[in-house]
Amino acid sequence: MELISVKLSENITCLKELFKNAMDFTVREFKIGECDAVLLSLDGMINKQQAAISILNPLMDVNSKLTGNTLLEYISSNSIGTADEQKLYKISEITEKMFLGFAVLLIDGAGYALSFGVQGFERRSVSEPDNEVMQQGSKEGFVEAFLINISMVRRRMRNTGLKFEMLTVGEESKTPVVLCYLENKVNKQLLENIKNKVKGIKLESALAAGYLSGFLKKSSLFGNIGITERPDTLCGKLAEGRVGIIVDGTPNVIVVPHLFAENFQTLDDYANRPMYASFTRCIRFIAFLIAAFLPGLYAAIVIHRPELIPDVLLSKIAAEEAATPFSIMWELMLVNLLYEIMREAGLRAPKSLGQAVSIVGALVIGDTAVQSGLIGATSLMVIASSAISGYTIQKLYEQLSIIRLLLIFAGGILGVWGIILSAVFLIYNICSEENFGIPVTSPFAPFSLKAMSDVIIRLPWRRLKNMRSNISNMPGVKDSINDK
Amino acid sequence: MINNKISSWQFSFFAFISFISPFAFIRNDMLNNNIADTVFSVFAAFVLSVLISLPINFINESFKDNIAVRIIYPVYFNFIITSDALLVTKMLTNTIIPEGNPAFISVLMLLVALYGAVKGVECLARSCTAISFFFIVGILFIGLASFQNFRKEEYIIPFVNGTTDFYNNSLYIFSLISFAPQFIILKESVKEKFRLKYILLTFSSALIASIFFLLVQYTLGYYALTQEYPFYTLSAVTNAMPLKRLDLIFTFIFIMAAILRMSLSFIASYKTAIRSDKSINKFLFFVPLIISVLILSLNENFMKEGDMYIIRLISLVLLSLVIPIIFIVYNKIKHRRRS
Repeated sequence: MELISVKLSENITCLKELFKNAMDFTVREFKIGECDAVLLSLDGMINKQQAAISILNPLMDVNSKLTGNTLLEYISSNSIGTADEQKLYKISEITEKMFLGFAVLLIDGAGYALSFGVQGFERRSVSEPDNEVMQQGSKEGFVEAFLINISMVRRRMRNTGLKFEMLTVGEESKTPVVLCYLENKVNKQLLENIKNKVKGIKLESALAAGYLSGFLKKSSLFGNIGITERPDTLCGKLAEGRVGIIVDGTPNVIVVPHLFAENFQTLDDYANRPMYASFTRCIRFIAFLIAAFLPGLYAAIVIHRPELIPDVLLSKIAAEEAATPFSIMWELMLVNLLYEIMREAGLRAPKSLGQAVSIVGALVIGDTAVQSGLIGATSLMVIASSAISGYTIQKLYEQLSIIRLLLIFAGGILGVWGIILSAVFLIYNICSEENFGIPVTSPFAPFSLKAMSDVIIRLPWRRLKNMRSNISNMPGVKDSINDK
Repeated sequence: MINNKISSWQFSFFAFISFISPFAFIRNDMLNNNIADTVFSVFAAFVLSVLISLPINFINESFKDNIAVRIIYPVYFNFIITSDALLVTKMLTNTIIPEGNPAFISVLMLLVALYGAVKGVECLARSCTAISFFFIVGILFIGLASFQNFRKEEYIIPFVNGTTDFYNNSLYIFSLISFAPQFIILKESVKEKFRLKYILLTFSSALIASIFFLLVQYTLGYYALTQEYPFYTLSAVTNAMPLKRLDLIFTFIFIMAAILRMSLSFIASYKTAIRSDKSINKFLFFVPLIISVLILSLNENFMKEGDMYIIRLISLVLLSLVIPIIFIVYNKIKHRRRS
């Protein structure tokens, strides 16, 4: 049965069949005057008190001899006053609304139903996100309920141009996915491309933003999408012409297109003094190079070109090496592996075990391993420096872990030559990446001096406000995108 | 290979990197003694490189679809890739990796260059920006650091032995740096006018190279003449605390530039090859090339001897002078017969 029948019994039978064995499906039968009526809802999805006060009580007080559609018109105009009331004509519309926490009113003789927003499911309260801590700025982070997330964005962008378009992803989960953008900023073609990509996602269920990300980027090393848990960050991105994708059930919002340079930016940069913000950005770029190249370069130089190391340091490394059983390359591999295991354990272990994991990590890797002569202190320090540097650019952690391992191997086997080859390979790899027709290396390559005003350095707001580029004006953007 | 458009600046930086990278592989035994003469030779070689682009451009514009052009160009480009790969390999096995297997080094390098070429000219243009940045920073660092060893007394009067050295050196450098045929093919990917920027950056690379020759003369003096690779030696004897020597930085920037140059030749070769047959597989097309590099690099005598300098020079003369003349004469005869 597709359309709602005028016979209430037929509608109830149909819906009961659809919700067979679903104990949360609630059917409240009652009478409005002489007319039979039901209020349908899903237990736990609605606020029962609100439903009773704002829907059931007023309906039971109606003393009218009207029936069918005219009765519903009367109820809509005179009796119930919820803000988000909607007429439904299909059975599928009824189920969709119920899944979103609406209560649905059906009466005998009417060819449509009315839905009322009385959502009341349990949800986590708004709190500061753990993964994106800011010194200055809002302490609000996104939560799992997408409507609350929308409201947080709306409160910061009081602009009629801010649009939220809802799509559904997941054949089984039917997860609401909301595209948000600023109409006057976003490139129409870019928006269309993103919309088509999201519509084309074929998944059984979309339970997290990560489920969608694989469909929005290429499966390469640097193919990337932006993820944020902060409404203020999202608003900043929307103002640059980007599109946010809010997925119900997750506090992570996807931001596309995402550029490589964005991995080095934080919201604090815009709150701090320009000079300090520029300094910290430079630190992050240096940290990236240390995190990626230091262990590999160390292996290459110590194994293949020791003459490059100052004599005092070289003699210390040689003494350490003589006392440990592994070669430098395997030592670095081992320490790196142990570090990654410790990190994974720290992430996955229950919070109550977190402290124990840290103690074991610090004692086993930091102290005992060196004292027992299993690994050298210098190798440990090299990996530790690399790992700590990696934390400054958390968004690139996955890539850095892979690159670090690759470069230790290349440096250990081929020496400096291996590092050079790997570096060229990585440059080629990252430079070939595009995100929705925009080169991810923009505005470094292709280079744009104007766009660089907010990349390595951050200019003062007075100058920056005139120089900030819309994402679709970045250098190297494909003509197919720029047809505004 | 993706065929997208690049900007005039990106194209000009291709020229910068392609012209300057072979200087790392210039061998002292191929140059003639007076380094002061070589400074002038550098500029002469650059002028020659720009001049030969005119007849090559004429051929490419007028006889693009001629079967001879379609065959000659890919053969020439593949020869240059082979020669460049062997030059780099030779330099590496003579300096930073003496224990390295030449075949392994050259093939690995070609595979990385091919990877870049497969990613397309746009990817190479972006990579060129990054590589140029590292190159300029690195070369400035080496240049400034080597000034601490500057000795005025090493000055030699140019042309003290006549002009023969100047001519020989000019031809040798010209044969190594010339990239005009590749640029004639690659310029189809440029979306703007590039002449001024191209000349500016080409001239900059000539200027940097000549400054480096002067630095070699003034810091190493006669010692430079005993060294196989003068630029490399300059960086190896320069220290900037905490680095005891700067040859690592030198190798890093010049090898990156050389790989980019090879990637550009790969693209030029493939672009001309698909003029005859669009269905050519880009990987299979380069298999014979990689095998030939493998065989040549395994040949110890070959690796000891030549830079293929004479063959490079002859092929350039053929491509830029002989073939254009043949085509012009052939065309005139054809026109006369018709009329």
